[in-house]
Amino acid sequence: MATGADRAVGMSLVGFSLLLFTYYTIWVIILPFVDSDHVVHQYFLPREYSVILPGIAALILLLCVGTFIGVVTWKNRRPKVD
Amino acid sequence: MHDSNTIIKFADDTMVVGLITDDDETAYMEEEEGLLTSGLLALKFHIILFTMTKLLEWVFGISVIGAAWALVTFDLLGLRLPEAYREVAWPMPVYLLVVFGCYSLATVGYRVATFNDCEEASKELQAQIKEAKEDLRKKGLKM
Repeated sequence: MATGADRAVGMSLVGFSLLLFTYYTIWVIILPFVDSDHVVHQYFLPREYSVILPGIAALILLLCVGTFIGVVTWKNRRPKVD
Repeated sequence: MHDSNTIIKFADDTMVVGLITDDDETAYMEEEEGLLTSGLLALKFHIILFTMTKLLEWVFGISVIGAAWALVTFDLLGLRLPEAYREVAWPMPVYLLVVFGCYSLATVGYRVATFNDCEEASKELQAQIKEAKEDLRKKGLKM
């Protein structure tokens, strides 16, 4: 079995993704079928944000990946040996 | 086409026996050109028919699903579905992407948590590496 820190990180990833999945599924699929005066609606943002927020997250992810590649490429640049 | 030519066909092969008179190959060349063009056309047709690649399958499947989604979201057929169904349909592409991301994250996390560590093997290996380094150092190899 995996040891201490590995287990903790792994299980926290699983827990986080389950939470995210549940919240997002309720937001996108279940809320439209719930009466608009039900109390559960106050825990969710307006519907447009269900597309805008993942879009922003994807942009940030792309930025991080691009920055990482840029930094590594910059560090490994070597002047041409004659 | 040219009377001086004879065309022999056998299966997919076609042979032009042409009369070349006095260094004039026009009769032969024109026949060859005609056959080459029609031959290439037949070959191209065959290629389109027989290479329905995996890529093409995926593209086809995704465009069918994409067309169904566009139909519901933009009401292209004027079906006027209930408002709730349209509300569910329009974020669908983003939703599927997010679900796929969650699934990937969960799979990675689970496999990290249940990875089979072999601690004794690791310690044994490190001891062997140390031993090998000592041995080589004694024999003069600089580390």
